[in-house]
Amino acid sequence: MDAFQTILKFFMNRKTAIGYSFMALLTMGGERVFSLVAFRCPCSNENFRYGLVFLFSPALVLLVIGYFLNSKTWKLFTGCWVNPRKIFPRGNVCHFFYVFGQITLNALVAPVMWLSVALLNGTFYECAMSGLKNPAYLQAVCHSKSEKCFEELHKVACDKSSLPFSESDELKRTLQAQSQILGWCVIVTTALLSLLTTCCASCQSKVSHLQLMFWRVYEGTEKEQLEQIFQLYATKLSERNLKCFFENKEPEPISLPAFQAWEDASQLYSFSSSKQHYSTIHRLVEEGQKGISEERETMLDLADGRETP
Amino acid sequence: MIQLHKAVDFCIRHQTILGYSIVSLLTAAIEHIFSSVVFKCPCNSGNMLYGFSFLLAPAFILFLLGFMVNARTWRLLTGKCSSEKHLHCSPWGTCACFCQVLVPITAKALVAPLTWIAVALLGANFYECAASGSSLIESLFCKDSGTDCRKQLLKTPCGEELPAKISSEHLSLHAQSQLIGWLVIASVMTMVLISTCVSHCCSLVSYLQLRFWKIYSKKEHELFEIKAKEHATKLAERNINCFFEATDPAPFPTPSNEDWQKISILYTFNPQEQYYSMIHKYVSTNRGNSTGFNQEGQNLTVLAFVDEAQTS
Repeated sequence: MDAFQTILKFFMNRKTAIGYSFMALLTMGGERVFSLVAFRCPCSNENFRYGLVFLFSPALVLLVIGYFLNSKTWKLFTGCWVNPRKIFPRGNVCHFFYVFGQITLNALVAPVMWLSVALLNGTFYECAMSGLKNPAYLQAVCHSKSEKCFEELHKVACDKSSLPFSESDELKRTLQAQSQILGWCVIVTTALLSLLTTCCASCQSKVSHLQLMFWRVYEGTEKEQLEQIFQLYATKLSERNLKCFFENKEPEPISLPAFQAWEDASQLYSFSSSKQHYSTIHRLVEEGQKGISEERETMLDLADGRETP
Repeated sequence: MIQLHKAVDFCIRHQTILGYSIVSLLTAAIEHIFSSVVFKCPCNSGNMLYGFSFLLAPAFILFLLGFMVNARTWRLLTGKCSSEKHLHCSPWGTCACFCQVLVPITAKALVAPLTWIAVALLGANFYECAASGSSLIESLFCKDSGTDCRKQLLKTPCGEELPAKISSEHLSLHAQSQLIGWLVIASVMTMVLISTCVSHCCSLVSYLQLRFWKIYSKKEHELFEIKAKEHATKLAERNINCFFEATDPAPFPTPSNEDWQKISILYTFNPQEQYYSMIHKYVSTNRGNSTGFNQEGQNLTVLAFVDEAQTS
């Protein structure tokens, strides 16, 4: 049992890395399945549109799913029609864009992974660019080949052109090479940008490193306990209500938070260096239900826990 | 069950070596997958760009990942640019201290990319493609031959053979790549050995004390995680119960923001003192209020593990 505990702890400590590797493997698997089963390059003038659709639509779908799965999105938007002041609080109009930007950056991980894997594979790009009728591009690709290259490039992806085998093979390799170099550029740019953003965010953080670690642990624990207490109170309340309904009795009072207390607790939290609060509920409990403080400083980092709504 | 327990114990005791071996095997496996499935040399003038992008881009990404994964980076960076006043805030002193810490972090981050480059060179596909398009190799191989030589050279990664005259005079690209690969491995190992010897030689701390120190750092980190979770659980319970029952919260002692700042600084060694971590120093100098806390120390490379023990 001890051994299993140790092994489990080892994997739980590295769950971010394992999570990302799993996502990468899933993306690679999905891309392979798509390109083998669903993708059939039309080898006509529609190549460009077909290839681009296969390249970008899954990315868009993954972006939307990323938005859905981030609980910050729902915390931001729930109730915004009824009370627009929630999104644009007095004196802090940029707050919405800042939070939305954070959510977008988090949601962009999966689409960028898809794009890089698809470009490294080369099939979609090859099909798309062989149908691009841009004279400058055609000149660059076909410059040392026969005249037929200009008219029959779009048939090269299906091996249906009348060009000699060595030429069509070289054209395919060139297009694939372009795709893979572009894929590496995407990966390197993304890695560099994410390192720079994380460094900047860390640099400007008003919270020290170890306190940030504690803050993450606290957030996780508070979330777990909130779920447990929701279950507990929901059970108590529904038991009381059903009992009174069936036995036709008067209900005993059960104290639950008021409507305004729920509203205040649902706000997105940001750390204020003059106070010692680790979450909205913590601040609410220590300061009572006053209006939200104007100080909006550090938010927990970009790789903040992804929760299902 | 006992067998499994013994196996797990063995793994834990030798986890550094096992870790590095697994990383090397993983690198070799990924390189093999790349060069057999993904890599297709275009065999034209784009060879050099293509080959070098496959050789260098993964190395660069691994280098960036090496920085992100090292906890010392974040300890160094967190809060440096914020407008709040910190301890140790003399600007030129901070710059020198920054460089002194950044060099060992960079050196550690270079391990994975160099492993990738060595494995990729031993595999030879990427270098062969890149070199066949390089003008240096072309001038070496084709200096006496005609214009056809360049075209033939560009097609060598796709299986075409060079004329016997040229291939007999020079080392093949495949062999060149593997030689360079072995050279990289040998030189990296030598540099690692020399730098470890030098850092241990320059260590102001004795061997046994270093061993004790490593064990202390690990234990302190484990206990920190356990205590942090306990503290967070109690605080969260108090807050949630007060929220639901609409009662006033009982006072709960928790370290202040300044206390957290004090223990998050990078550790510096001072031979006059006997502190094994920033938490030890903080606790022994009256919660960081006595003068002993602010004394300048040295950033020793051999003590890098003190800050790295805290993984983010």
